[in-house]
Parts: sequence; C-alpha cells; structure tokens
Amino acid sequence: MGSTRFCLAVLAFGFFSLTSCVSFTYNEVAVNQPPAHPDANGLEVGTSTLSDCLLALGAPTEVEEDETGDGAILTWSWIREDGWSLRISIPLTRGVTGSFQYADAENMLRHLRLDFDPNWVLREIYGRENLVLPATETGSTGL
Amino acid sequence: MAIRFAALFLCLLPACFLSSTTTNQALDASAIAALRPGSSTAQEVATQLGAPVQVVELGRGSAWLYEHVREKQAGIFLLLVAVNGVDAQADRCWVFFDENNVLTHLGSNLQADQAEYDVPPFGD
Repeated sequence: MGSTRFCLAVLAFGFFSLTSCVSFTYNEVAVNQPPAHPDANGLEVGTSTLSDCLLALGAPTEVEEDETGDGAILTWSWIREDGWSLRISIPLTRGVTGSFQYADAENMLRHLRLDFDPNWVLREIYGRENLVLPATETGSTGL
Repeated sequence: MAIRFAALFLCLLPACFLSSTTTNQALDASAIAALRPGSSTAQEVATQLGAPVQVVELGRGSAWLYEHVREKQAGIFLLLVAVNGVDAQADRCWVFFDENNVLTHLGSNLQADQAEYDVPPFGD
C-alpha cells in the first residue's frame, strides 16, 4: 500500500514537472550600498554641515527642496530583498486553466533622510537606526 | 570544492542566464577630483562631467546629479525550481551650486564596479 502511494506520488511529481504545472522561484535583489562610514554615527543635528554629511555618507540617491522652500532634504536609499514564490497551474478543461500562486518576500527598502536649513546645517535626521551596516568607500569635498 | 564544481556545472547548463544592463557612462574619478568647491563654476563642471541627468532647484541655488548604474542579473532554471539574483550598483555624484553658480559642495560614490552576478545559493 505504501509503495503504491509512493509510486503515485512519483508519477504525479513527474507529470507536474514535465508539464511545468509547478514552479518554485527564489529571488534576491540588491540595489545600492548602504551608507555606513564610521563617521555617520557622529552626525549631529544643529552642528553637522552638508560637507560633514557628504563625507560620512557619500552621494545621496535623491535631493529635493523641502516643503518651506528654504532648505533641502537629502535621501540615501538602498534595497535588500529576498523572497520565494510557488505557482501551481493545472489545465481543467479545454481552454480553462486553474492556477494558484503563493509568494513570501521580505522587502527591505531602507532609507536615511537628512533635512538641512538654508545654511546647510543639519536640521533633522530620519532613519538613523538604519546605519548599522558595513563600511563603503565614499568621497566628498565642500566649503 | 564541491560547491565550486556544482556552480561550474550548473553554469554550463542551457538553463542558466546572465544579463548586464548599463545606464549612462561611467563617471570619471579624476574629473570629479579636479572640481574645487568655492572656485569651480557650473560651466566648468559641465565641461568636466558633461550634462547632468537631473537638475534640482534649491531656493537660490541648485544641485546637479551625475549617475551611472550597472545592473547584473543571474539565474538558473531547473525544471521545478528557478533562482534569480539581481545586483544594481551605481556611480553617483551630486554637485551643489550657490546663486552665483559657483560649486559649494559635492559628494560622490563610485560603486558601479561592485555589481556582481550573484545566484542566491552560491552568492554571499
């Protein structure tokens, strides 16, 4: 009895495999390096300047004017995503196919946003908790 | 050793693929290093680095973005199972100008070369 079930299972497995009815997909995505220069943790609101921040963090991914128009917001963002999905597709009748898909993904979109006043002094930090990653090479200069 | 052999074997299967996508030209590190905050002008920056991919108005000043992106993708399909890895890294340089179009700050990362073909079971 047990061997019969095993054979049926193997046959079913082979059938689904050959007809591509079942597929399992695993994905990993990495976009940009996280800013993690040792000086990054030393950035302080009210004292650090744009030059300090560019030296510690490198080039941001985005620069925009803030809501009041008198300052700027710089954003550093990076992605680490991994996930898998299972898809089952079975022909039911002529022209009709039933399918089932399940996906489980962990999308880590991290960002660090710095708000600067008109004199390029750091006014606010958002997302500082994300600065716990390996170091990267960065460069900057400023007045 | 076994893992390397398995990786090599799998790479030779027709079900493997590699792709590479490049956006814009790579940034010239020496050209960036030649820029001098406080003296370089917007005209000089444009001469050194070319046209920026983005210009942002910031109050009385502005910021220009130079960016080069390298994306590498690798995958394997083995009947039921497919694994896929994507790694996108960038050379990025932001230059900031005051109301007189004089360079005040610049920040750069040159990391596009760090993009790797990374099939999940065999990568980092």
